[in-house]
Amino acid sequence: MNIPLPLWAQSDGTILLDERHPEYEEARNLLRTVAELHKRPGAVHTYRITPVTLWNAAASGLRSADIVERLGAMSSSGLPRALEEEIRKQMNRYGQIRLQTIAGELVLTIEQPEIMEQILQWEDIVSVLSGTSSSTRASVKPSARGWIKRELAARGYPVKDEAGFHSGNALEVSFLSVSDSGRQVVLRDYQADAVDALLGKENGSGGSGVVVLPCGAGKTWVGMAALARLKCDTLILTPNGVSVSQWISELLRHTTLTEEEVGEYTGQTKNVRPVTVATYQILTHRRSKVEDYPHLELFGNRDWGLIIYDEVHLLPAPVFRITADIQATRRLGLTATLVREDGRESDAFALIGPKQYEIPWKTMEEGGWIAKAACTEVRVPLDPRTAKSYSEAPKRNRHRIAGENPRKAEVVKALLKRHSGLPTLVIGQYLDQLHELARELSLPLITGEMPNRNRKQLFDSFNRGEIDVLLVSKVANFAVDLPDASVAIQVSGSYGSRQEEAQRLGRILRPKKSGNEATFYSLVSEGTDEVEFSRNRGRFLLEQGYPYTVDRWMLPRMEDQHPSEGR
Amino acid sequence: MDLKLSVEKLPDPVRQLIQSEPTIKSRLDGGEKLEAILRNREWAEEWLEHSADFYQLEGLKKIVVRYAGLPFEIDSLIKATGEENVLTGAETRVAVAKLRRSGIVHSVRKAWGDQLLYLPEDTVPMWLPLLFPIIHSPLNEAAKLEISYASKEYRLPLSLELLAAWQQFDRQPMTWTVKGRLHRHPFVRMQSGLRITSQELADLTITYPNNDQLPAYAALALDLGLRSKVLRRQNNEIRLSMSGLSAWLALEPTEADSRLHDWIMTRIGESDPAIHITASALSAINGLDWHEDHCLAVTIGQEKAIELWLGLMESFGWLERGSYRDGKVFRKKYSKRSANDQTTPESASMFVQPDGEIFVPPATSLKQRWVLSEIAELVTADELVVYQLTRNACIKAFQAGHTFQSVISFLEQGAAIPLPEPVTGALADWFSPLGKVVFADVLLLRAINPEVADHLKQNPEIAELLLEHVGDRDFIIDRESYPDMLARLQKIGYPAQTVDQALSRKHEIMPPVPPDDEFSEEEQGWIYRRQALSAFTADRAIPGTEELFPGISSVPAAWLSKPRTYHASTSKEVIQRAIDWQTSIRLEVNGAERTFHPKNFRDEGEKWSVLGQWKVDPGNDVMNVRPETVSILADEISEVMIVLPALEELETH
Repeated sequence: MNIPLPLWAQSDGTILLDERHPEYEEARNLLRTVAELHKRPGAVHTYRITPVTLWNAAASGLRSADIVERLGAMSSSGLPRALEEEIRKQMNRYGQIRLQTIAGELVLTIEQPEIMEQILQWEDIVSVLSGTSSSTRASVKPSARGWIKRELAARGYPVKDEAGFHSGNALEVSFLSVSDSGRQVVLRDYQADAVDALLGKENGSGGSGVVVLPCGAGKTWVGMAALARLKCDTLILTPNGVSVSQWISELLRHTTLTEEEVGEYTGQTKNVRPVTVATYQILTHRRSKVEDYPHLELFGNRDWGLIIYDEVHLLPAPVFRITADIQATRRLGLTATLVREDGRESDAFALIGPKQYEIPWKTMEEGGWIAKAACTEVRVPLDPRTAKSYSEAPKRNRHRIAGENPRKAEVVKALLKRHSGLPTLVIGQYLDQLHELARELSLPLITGEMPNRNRKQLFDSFNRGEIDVLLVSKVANFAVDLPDASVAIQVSGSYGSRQEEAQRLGRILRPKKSGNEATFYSLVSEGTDEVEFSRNRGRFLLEQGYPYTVDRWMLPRMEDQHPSEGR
Repeated sequence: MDLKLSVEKLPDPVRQLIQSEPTIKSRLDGGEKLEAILRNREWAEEWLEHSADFYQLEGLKKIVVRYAGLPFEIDSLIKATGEENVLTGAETRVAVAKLRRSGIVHSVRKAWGDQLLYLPEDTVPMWLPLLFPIIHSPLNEAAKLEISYASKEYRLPLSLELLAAWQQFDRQPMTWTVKGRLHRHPFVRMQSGLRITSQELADLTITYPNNDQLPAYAALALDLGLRSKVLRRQNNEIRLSMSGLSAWLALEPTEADSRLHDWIMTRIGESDPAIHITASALSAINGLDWHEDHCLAVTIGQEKAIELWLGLMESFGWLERGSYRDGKVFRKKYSKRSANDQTTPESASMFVQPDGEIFVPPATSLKQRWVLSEIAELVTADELVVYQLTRNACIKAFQAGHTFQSVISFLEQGAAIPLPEPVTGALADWFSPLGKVVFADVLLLRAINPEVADHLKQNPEIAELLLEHVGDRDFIIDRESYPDMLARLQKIGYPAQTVDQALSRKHEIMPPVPPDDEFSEEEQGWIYRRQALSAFTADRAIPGTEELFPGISSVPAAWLSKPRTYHASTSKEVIQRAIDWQTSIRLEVNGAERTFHPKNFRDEGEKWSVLGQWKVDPGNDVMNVRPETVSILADEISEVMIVLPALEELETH
C-alpha cells in the first residue's frame, strides 16, 4: 500500500500514520497534540481522535482551523467531513464555558447564550447553580466545582477552570544536590519540561493536569519536582503498598525531606505528615457496602497544596468523587497511558485536568532514556502425563495446569544460563510453581506474603547487583522500581489485563548499566489455551510497538525417545 | 427501454431510414455502429447543429423535461406542447416523426395497436445538458470555509456496501416457500450487511414482491444483484451466479459504481421524470468541487426531486452535502474514472500489520475485497477498510475453500511484500487443525447383532467387499459394490433390505419460475418496473404524410400553397381541415397576413367565427408566453391557407 502522504484519516476519528513516510516525524508530532496513540503494531500506527484529545489540544492553545488544515494536508484521502466537523465542534467548545472567581463567587461564564439555554434545561445542573445573573453567567455553589465540571464534560461540554488554586500549608523542601548514594541529583530535560508544562515556567502559578510518560521514564521524578517547586503539603496516592515504600524511599534519598515530614498511610501504618503517601486501596476501604469510605477523610486532614495521583489511569471511582470536592487543590496525574479500561477518560480530564505533557515512547528510546525491549514467546510442550491431565480436566482447571507445566522449569534454567550475569526477574502467577522454582533453582522469591521490609531488602540487594535473579509473584506488577532488570521471564500469568502486561514489561524498561537492551520472555504451553491467551497478549505487545517473536522449545533427545511419544 | 435494446428491436425499414440520416450515415460509413453513434455526444452535437430544425428541438426539449425516459402517447405530447403554444399538433407530430427518423425517439405498439413513444432512458443524460446547458460554478475557497455539515454516518460507495450484502448469498441462497413467502434467515443476513436504512429510501415510490417482508433497501440490493447478474433467480431461490460474480468482480470499483448509478437512475427515474432529469444534470457535473443544489434545476418544480436524488446519492456514498448560507450544497466524492483511482499492477493493494490487521485502500479491486471478506473479519468500513485475521475467520476461510498456502499467497500478493512473521505464525496455528476431521457420506452395512456381523466377516465372498469394520456390527462398503453385495447376501441366505429411497434427497415441487436468462435484460431485477416496453413490439414504420395528415392527397393543392380568397363556406372548410390536422393557417385579416392556430368554431346562426391563438414566429422570445384565445369573424378573413410543417425530409420509403 503506497500512500502519497503519511496519514489516512477515517471518519470515526481513527488516524493511521505510516512510519515509513519521510514526513513521519512531522505527522507524529501533530498527532501527539490532537490524538491518542492507540497502537503501533507495525509500520502503520493507529491514533484516535476523541472529544477529550481535542479538548486537550484546545487547552494547549491549538486552533481547530490549523488542525483541520494540517491534518487535511497530510492525509492521503483528505479529511473526512464528519471528522473535520467533529474537530471544529469539540475544539471550539473548549473555552466556551469557564469557571472563574469573581468578587469571591464561583461563576460559570459562558460565551454563547445558546449553551446557557442548553445547560438550564438540565435540572441536576441547575440545582447546583445559586443564581443566573445574565444569559451568559451563573453562580455555582463552591462545593459543586468539580461535580459540575465532570457532569458537563460527560455531556460533551468541557469547562475551563480558571477559578484558581489555594496554596496549602507551606513546606520547605528542595532537591538535594547529591543523593545518599553519592550520585548527583539532576532532573532530565523532559522531566523538567513536564513540570514547567504543568505549573508554568515562571512562577509556578499553573494548575492541574496529567503528565504522560512511558513506563521506565521516571514519573516519580516529575512528582518530586512539582513538590519541590510548589513547596507545600502534598498527598501522594499510589496503586499499592510497595509503591508507597518506593515513593518514600525516593523522597528521602533525593529531597531535603526528613522521615518526620514524610508519612505512610496504608493498611499497616497511618501517619499523616506534611508529605503523605497513601494507596488507592486504603482510601477505598470500608467495612460494608452501605458504609461511607472512612479513609477519604485523609483529603481533608491537612491543608494539602498538591495531590499527586500516581498511575492515574487506575484511579478508582470513589477517589474520583472525592477529587471532585477538592478542585481548589492543585492536582498532578502521572501515567503511561490516558486510556482507561473503564473508558472514563472524560472524568480524568474534568477532575484532574487536561494533558499537560507527553513525550513519545520512540523519542525516549532513541534518547536512551528507556531500554529497547524484544519480546519472545517460547512454546513449551506438555509432558505426556500433564497433557493427559490437561485434556481430562474441567475447563476451569486447565489454565492452571498449562501455566504450571513442569517443563517450563527446564526452559527457565536454560534462559537463565543464556543470560547469566544479567539482572533477571522471573514472574509467575501461581505461588506453588514459584516456590517450586525457588527450591529447584535456589533463588530468592518475593510474594505478597513477604513483609514489605523484607521485600525492600531483596529489591535493594538486586539493585546493588548482589543478586542477579529474583522470582516475583504478581505483587511486582505495579510501581515496583527495579532499575537494573534486563531480562524478564514470565512463567505464568492471568493474561487477562493489558495493564498487567504493560506493568510487567515496564519492569525491564529502565535504562541499563550494561547496554540498553531488554528481553521479555513468555513461556507458553504448546497445545493449550495458553497459546490463544498468549496470542492476545502478544498482539497487545505488538500494538505497543515491541518486536514479538515465537520460538518453540526443542525437547532434549531423551524426551524425544519417550515411549508415549512414538517410539 | 435502453438504447441497446431499442436498436436491437428496430424493424429493418425503420433502421434503414435511420441509417440514411446524413449525420448518421457519414459515421456509419466511417465504420461506427448505429448504437454507438446514437449514444455518442459528439454525434448529438453534430445532429443539433446540422439536422435539427426548430420543431424537433422544441419537441425534444419537451420530451426530455416532461417524460425523460418514460413512454408517452403522441396526444399527451401534443397537449403539452400546445399548452404553451410552442408547437401545433401538426408540428409536434412531424417533429416526432423526424426524431424517430434520426433514431432519437423510438416507438413501440401495444398488442391492440396503441402507440407508445419514448426516448431511450440511457440517452437522457446525454441530451439533457445539450438541450439545457447546466450553469454551475463551483464554490470558491472562501465560500468553502463557510460550509457546515450535518453529521451523517460514513458510507462506502454503493459498490462496496453491496458486496457485503451479496456476500451473504455465498453462504446461503435466498429462498421462498411454495406460497411465495421468503425464508427469513437469508434476507435478515443480507440486510445486516447494509448500512442504508429504509428511512433514506422512504420518499421513493418503488414497489416489489414481498414488500411486507423486505425493506426497500434490501429490495434494492436484491434488484441490483439481479440486474448486475451477480445474483441469479431460479425456481424458488436466488443465489450467487459464479460467472456473473466473476465478471462483476473484474470491474474497477469506479466502473462498478458508474453502472450502479446508471441502473438506479433509470429504475428510480422511471417513476418520476424530474428525478431522471436531476440525475442527468448531476451526471453532467464533473470534478470534486462544491456546488449549490439549485444549479441542477432545469425546469420549474424540480426542487423536491433535487432534494430526493441528492439525499439518495449521499446515502449511496457518492456525494457529500452541506449547508452554505441559506442554501444547500453538494460535492461528488468520486470523479468519473479518475486516473488516481487505478491501481498499478506493481503497487500494493493492501497492507498487513504484524497483529493481523489488514488495511485496504479505496482503489483495491472488488475481487480482492471479496476474498478478504472470506478470509478475515471486517473491523471498519471507512475511507480505509480494515479487516482482522482471526481464528474464526480462518475457519470461515477454510469452509470457503481456502488453505493456509492460498491465504498466505493472496495476502503476500496483495501486500507486495512477505507477511510479518507473527501473521504467518498465527495463520499456521489456526489452519493446522482445519481439515483434519471430515464428515464422510458412506454406505454402511449393519448386522442385527455382533454374531451376524462375524458370520458375514468370515464369508470370503462378503469379506472382500467390506472396506472397514466399525464397532461390532457395522461395515463400511463401497457404494459401487452395493448391487454385488446385495446379490451375495441373498446368495448366503441373508437377503438385505435395499437402501431406503428416502435416503435420496427429496426435491420440493415448486411452481415453475423461469430462470433469469429467460427474462429480458430489462426485466431482470426485483423491483417492479413501471412499464416494461420490451414486452411490446417495435413500431414497424415511421408515419408518412398521409398518415400524419389524413386526406392530404385529396385536398386541393391551392389550400396548402398560397393564401387565397374563398367563399365563406370554403374558408370554413379549409379552416376545419386545419383544425382536424391540428395545424396553423395563414390569414389575411384587416389587410395584414398572420399565422393563426385555429382550435374550433363558434356558430351564431349563419355567421361563424373561429377561435384560436395567434402564432408568433419560431425563435421569438415571446413564444412561450401563453397566448390569449381570440375569436375571428368569418367576415374579417379575406385570404386563408393551411400551413403545414416542412415534410420533405419525411421520406418513409
